[in-house]
Amino acid sequence: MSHLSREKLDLVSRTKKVIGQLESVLRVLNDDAGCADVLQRLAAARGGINSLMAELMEDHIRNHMPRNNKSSEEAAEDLIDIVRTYLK
Amino acid sequence: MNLASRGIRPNKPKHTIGVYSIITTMAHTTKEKDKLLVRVRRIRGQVDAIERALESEEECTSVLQLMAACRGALNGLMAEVMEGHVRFHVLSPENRKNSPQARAAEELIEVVRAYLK
Repeated sequence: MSHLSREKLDLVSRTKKVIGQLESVLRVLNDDAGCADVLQRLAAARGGINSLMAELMEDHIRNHMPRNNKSSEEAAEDLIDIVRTYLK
Repeated sequence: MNLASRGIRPNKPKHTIGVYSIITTMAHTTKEKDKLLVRVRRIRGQVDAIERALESEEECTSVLQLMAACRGALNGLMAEVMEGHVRFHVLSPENRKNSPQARAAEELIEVVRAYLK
């Protein structure tokens, strides 16, 4: 998909950031840190994955939402599908 | 590690030998460490899969699906750690059974679970 290749670099670096956040969760778990620390880092990773997903959705809507060749009804259906996938 | 500074009340040691306290409880994240480590590693594996999918330029709908799965797993894990937090740090050992506090805690846990689903 075209938008994936164009915005790929940014998405990949965000993904790497989430991996780093999960590694910090592993680190504090291994160090027997308090659960507040674990929760805070988990929340950060969760925020990371949410914003990654929001960005991919945004790219998807910008690049794949049909413009002239489809009816507005079909366009709405497409958007609903995207939102459903996101909110599952 | 200073729990008090983060507003967390650690469980008081129940037994003492002379002047030394025996700490009978430890942080739930320590008690369930192995289980939690496995889950976090699995989620990291899911994020690795997202990275691979992005690198190999897979269909964005399938990338979205991978992300949704990962998000679900992370939410479930967070709900569980929060549940442990309520059970082990908010409730004191003496009111863990059938007290109004214990019931309130269970309700709170339900809310957290529903919210993080």
